[in-house]
This record gives sequence, C-alpha cells and structure tokens, in this order.
Amino acid sequence: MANGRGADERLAELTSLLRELCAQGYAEQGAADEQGAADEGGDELDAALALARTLSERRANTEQRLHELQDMIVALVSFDYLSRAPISDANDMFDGMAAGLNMLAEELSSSTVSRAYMLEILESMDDAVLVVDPEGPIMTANHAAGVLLGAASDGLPGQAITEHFPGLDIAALIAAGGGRDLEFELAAADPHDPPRKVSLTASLMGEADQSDGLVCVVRDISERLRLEAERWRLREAVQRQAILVDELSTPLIPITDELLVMPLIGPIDSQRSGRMVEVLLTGIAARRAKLAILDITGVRAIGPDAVDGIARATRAAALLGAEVLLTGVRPDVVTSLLELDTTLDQARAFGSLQAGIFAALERILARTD
Amino acid sequence: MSKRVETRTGVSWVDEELGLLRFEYAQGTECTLEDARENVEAQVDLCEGETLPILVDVAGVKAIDQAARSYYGESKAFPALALVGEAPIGRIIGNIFLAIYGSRDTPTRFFKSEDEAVAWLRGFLP
Repeated sequence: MANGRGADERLAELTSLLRELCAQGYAEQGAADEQGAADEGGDELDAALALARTLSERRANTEQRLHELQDMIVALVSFDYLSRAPISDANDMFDGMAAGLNMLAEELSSSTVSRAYMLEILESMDDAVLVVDPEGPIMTANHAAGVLLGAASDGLPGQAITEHFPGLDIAALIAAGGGRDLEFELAAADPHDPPRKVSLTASLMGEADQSDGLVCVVRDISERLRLEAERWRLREAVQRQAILVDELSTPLIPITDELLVMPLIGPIDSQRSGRMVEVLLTGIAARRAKLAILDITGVRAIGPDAVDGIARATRAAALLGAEVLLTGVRPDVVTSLLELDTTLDQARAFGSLQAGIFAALERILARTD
Repeated sequence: MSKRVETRTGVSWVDEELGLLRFEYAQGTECTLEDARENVEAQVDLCEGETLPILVDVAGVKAIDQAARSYYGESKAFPALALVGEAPIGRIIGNIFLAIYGSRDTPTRFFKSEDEAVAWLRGFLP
C-alpha cells in the first residue's frame, strides 16, 4: 500500500486536490460541479470522477479558445483585418483578449492602408513612378517606370536616378521642395527611333531638412509635343491662308502708273470694305495714281457695307487727288443703290470694266496732250 | 427619484446625490454607432442644459465597434468621462479606448473601482 495510507484517505486527498483545481478561477462553477456530483448521489470516487471530467472539459475548452486567439493573431499578421475572434458570454480572460484583438483589427482596418493596396495603385498607374532616396538611388519603381526606362522594374531599385536622367540634381530639388515639368530626353529602345521627350515632376517626401526622398512621376510627352507641333503648323497654315484670302479679296492691279484697277468678287462685309479702302489708298499714294477703278462686276449683291466702303474710298481718293470710277454696275445694282437711298454721286459709274478702262485711258491721254 | 432613460444597449440616469451623469451597459450588449448616438442623445437630454461629467460602467458590454468608439471619442458632450469595469472585456475596452482617445480634449480615465472614478469625476462638477 503506497505511503502506508488507505484507499479512502488517498481518494479523499485526490478529491480535495481536484476540487481545488476546479475552483481556481471558476469558484462558482467549481461549486456547481461539486454540487452536481453530490446530486447524482455518488460517493467520493464519483465526485472525483466528476471533477476530473470537468477539468478535462475545461482544458479542451481552453485549448479551443487559445486556438481561436492564435488564429486571430495570425490573421492580423497577415493583414487580414476582417477576421474576428469569437467572444463568449463568460466574459473571462479569453473574451477580454478576443475583444482586444478584435478592436485592434478594427482600428488597423480603419487607419492602415496595406502595402499590397499601395503597390496595386502604383502598378496600375500609366505614368512612371520612381521613389528616390535623398542620396540618389532609386528605392521603388513601378511597372510603367520599367517600360519607360527599358528595364525590369525590379531591377531599377539601387540604380542611381542620374543614370537615367543625367543632370537631375536631387539635393537641389529637395532644397527647393520639389520641381515640376522638368524635361528630359530618353534614348529610344530602338536606335532607329527618335529619342523620347519626358516630363518629370518631383514631390518631396517629408520636410526639406529631414526628407525621406523624392517621388518622381515621369510622363512620356513625345506624343503630346508632336500633336502640339502639328497644331502649331496647322494654325500657321490657316493664318497664311487667311492672309492670302485677305489679299486676294482686295487685289490692286496697276494698268499704268496713273491708273489702278481693283476688281472685287463676292460679298463685301464691313471688314472687307475697310480693307478695300486701305489697300486702295495705299496703292494710290504709292504710285501717285490719278484714277482708280473699283470693278464690282463680280459682286452679286450690294449692301450697306459695300456702299459705305465705295463712298469712303471715293472721298478718301479725292483727298489724295485721285478720282474713283465704278465699273460693272448692273441694273440690279442700281436698284439696290436706290433701295439704300444712295447714288454714290462722287463716283462715275460704267456698265462694264472695259468701258471704265477706256474712259480712264482717254482721260489720261487727254491730260498728257 | 431621478429620471432614467433606457436604450437598446443600457440605461442612463442623473445621479442626483453625486451630481453625475451615469450610464450602465446592459449585460452582453454589442454597441454600434447607432447605439452610441442614441445613448449620447439620451444623456444630453437628461442633463437638461447642464454639462455633467459622466461615469460609464462597461462591465456588462460585450463589444463596442470602431465607429461607436470613434463617435464616443470625438464627442464633446461631457466635461469628463470615467470608464469603470472589472470584467475582462470591459477592462480591455476601457484601456484601448483610453489608449486611442485618452489624449483628446475631454479628460478620460479608466478605473477598476467605482469609488475611484467618482472621486476623480468630482473634480469636474459644475
């Protein structure tokens, strides 16, 4: 017999120890378990057995709860902020820890942006993004940067930024708080292709005196520059056309030194009317002409602007000592003039250009004689 | 007898003897943003224009979600907030709330015993 003690005595000690273990942290439950054993009408051995079963259940429960907490910790370490540890109604230490981990997950979820999320944003950008250390090496580069610089994006970190952008002064950019639209020329991957123009904008990370580096966004602007040049070329062409049309709209043809002819074709608005007066007077003054013919054969309709232009040209020419003859005056033009209540008294009118030139030459010859 | 207002997550009342506003979470309750708004609204109404410090018993609460915590944390409805709760969940909630919102404008402390909390809140009585 072990220790010289009887079975009852050892059983009593065992029951007492089990009761003690059951009571630790579970005072109320321990009493209930004991009462349960007593209610079953069992003897000391039954009571010990009931207590041992209780301890076994608690141990299994404890292991289960620890596994749940372990899973929650693993979820947090894996940036899974949506998992939650179960909380029982016992409001015990496990529940306290589960509540704490759940709150930690909630706080992280609301305040933390995962690295994967940030990388996804960087990788989805069409523009090249390079994060550069204050000393010059590239720290991070996205896929677009690799494509632009003709290298694998994971091969760029560690390389000096100036290898790709010669002359880029990192220290000066940090001191200036960054820089915008700095233009560089990059050699094309295919040597037969022209170099590409890129624009680099550098933003400062942190403060200038304690900067973590620069975030450089690089955009290929070759196509934009090509389109701008094309637009500029088209605009110049349109301007040249406009000048040409303007000049053609008021041509001045010298017949002799003293006689000028301005054949007008198409409608005459106020702008063209002004231009007509200006060109006519300049021509008269330059050639010291004595006669100028305004031929309106090609003008289908005479409106107020045309009448005003002819009247002003006639008066102004007279001030320069020249006379204006109006040719190509058709019957419908006369009707229009009457409707406009004007007769252009100062301008002598002829039905055709031929008649006008003939009359003008006669006048010149008469003066020469 | 002072007026008591019951909401889904607990009961609020003015402790006229101590001159404090009090709120006790119901056993096993889970508090959301909507509940937090309802509680603060009821508590402000109870004060009838006065600004009273509040003692919140978190012993029975099972969870207060992040939006509700943030709402409580940003609330300026009370001059001081004392959290009390000895049970493990209440204790962790109180301590985490304190860690995140403890430095806000409204003085906030967590206590294990109600007596300590009341003694601290007396310093904020009008």
